[in-house]
Amino acid sequence: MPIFEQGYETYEGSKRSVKRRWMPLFREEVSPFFRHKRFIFLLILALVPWMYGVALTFLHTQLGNAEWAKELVGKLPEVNETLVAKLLANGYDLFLLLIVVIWVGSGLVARDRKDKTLEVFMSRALSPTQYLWAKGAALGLFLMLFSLLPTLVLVVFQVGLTGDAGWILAHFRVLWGTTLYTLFGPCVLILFMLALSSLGRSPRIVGLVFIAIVFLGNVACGILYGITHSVSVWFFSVSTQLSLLAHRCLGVAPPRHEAMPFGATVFFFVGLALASLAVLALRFYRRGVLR
Amino acid sequence: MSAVLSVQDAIVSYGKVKALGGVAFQVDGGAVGLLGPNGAGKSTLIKAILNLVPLDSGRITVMGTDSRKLGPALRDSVGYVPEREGVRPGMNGVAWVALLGELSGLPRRSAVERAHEVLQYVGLEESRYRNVETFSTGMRQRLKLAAALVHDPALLLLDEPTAGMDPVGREEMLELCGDLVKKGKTVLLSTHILKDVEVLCDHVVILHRGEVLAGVSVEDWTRSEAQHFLVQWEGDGDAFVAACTAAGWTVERRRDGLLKLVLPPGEKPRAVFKLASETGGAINRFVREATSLEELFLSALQKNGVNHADL
Repeated sequence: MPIFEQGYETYEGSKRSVKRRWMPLFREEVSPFFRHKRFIFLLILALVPWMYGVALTFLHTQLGNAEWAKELVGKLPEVNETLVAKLLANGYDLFLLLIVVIWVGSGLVARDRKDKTLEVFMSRALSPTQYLWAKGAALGLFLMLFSLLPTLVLVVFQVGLTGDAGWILAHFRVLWGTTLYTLFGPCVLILFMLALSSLGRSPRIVGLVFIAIVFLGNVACGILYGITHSVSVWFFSVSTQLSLLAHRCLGVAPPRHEAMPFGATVFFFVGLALASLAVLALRFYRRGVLR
Repeated sequence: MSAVLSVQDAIVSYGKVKALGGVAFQVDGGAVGLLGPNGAGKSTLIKAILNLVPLDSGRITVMGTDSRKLGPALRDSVGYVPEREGVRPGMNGVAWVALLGELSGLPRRSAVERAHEVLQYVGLEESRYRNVETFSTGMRQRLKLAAALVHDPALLLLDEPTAGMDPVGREEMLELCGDLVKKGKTVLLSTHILKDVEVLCDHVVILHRGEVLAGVSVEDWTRSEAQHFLVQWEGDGDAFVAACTAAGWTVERRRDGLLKLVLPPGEKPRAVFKLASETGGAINRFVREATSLEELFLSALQKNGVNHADL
């Protein structure tokens, strides 16, 4: 008896618009991480400094006018561009951000190459741009937790607790500065990681290469700075450039030892983005990524 | 009406290595076998059809449209079973097939329903909730076929779909493919297993080192090249065998007493009867024996100057 007792049935139903077909892939990239307890714990850890920001907001708005607490609260940092810049650029969060980039990003394309699922995806009505968009958006979603999302939470707390939107107008740069930082910093990191991931078949090796570039690069820059005391050696340090970008976008002076011209930081990120885009274009549109 | 698939002088190179050197053939429907030894360029050709590898020159059209401009509608009408891997560990069968259904445009709910349908069709209904990394090779091949069918394509490109399967599994897989052909699907079956082509395909294209050695109807081919006969002889067998050998024909005595006679191409069967009367015997039975595809495959290779050692 044939195994196909039920018989083959044709599909007569509707089909989704081509433009939205990246969404299932995005969902499949994101959802496994939400089942991963260690990863969730890492994201919570990343939000700890922002809880300090929220606490400051609470103290300033709720106890700032109380006689008994006025003096104490007055000594605490104000919630403004400087605080947000510090929260965005603190070494602890930058470290966790880079860990998330490695954890989520290293396998984005490399794993599909390893499992040969990339050619299956590409054989569907999914353009390389849509495929990369789905992958990049998955990493982007998690990186939002390090910049845009907590900033928005901070703003909502500030306005919610005071009942006055005046703070937003007075500190509008917090919003657009953070958005600018996110676009230039984490988004360029996403492009870089996608490009790196498209070059390898092993997520582990891609992760190790990223670690070598980012963390060992930072160590090398630190050693060079110790020898030369020249600020320009930090040009190749990704975490320093992210820190500088956060400070510059929010209009806050960066730490002295990092203070290189803003043009150098812009050049670094634009250069990294263009190089990554060039690699992705070559790999995907010339189909080298499928070999 | 345009052909389902047309390949015109397709040339593909990987660096200095020419993987396809001017391949040309046409598929109008039914099941077509793409036959060739490992490294013949079968997988490259399938990838070129899907625009997964760029053509250096030439043209491939799928349902009349250039493969380089394969839009969503056309991609939705093509199903692809890759040769190796092609499934994502960590996902169960239903989730994987449904994901590919969604990527082909099926709404979420329909994709899940359809995934159940096609998994049942390929015989994986009991394993559909198991993670794919726990599947055996045969189950993976079936899963890949289900994934290729989930969006109900008109053209199926199957790259070694029976690779690594046991004989029963192979037979079932070919049975499934045959059923799909009966349901109106066009199947391009890439394989190095001749038996699979014999069982499933109406036409065959033989590839070797990126070039088409032959491309014909399996039935016509086996008929046109069939110069193999079984002869039941009455009389002095030795004299007949000697006469046949002297005429340059190959004769082989079989255990059942019949003679297997191979005539060179172009020689007419009536020559056998003429020779029989000359040697004073009689032919009681004279049956044309269809040549197996394997013999034909080897003869096609030999005609093109390819040695067995090169395979």
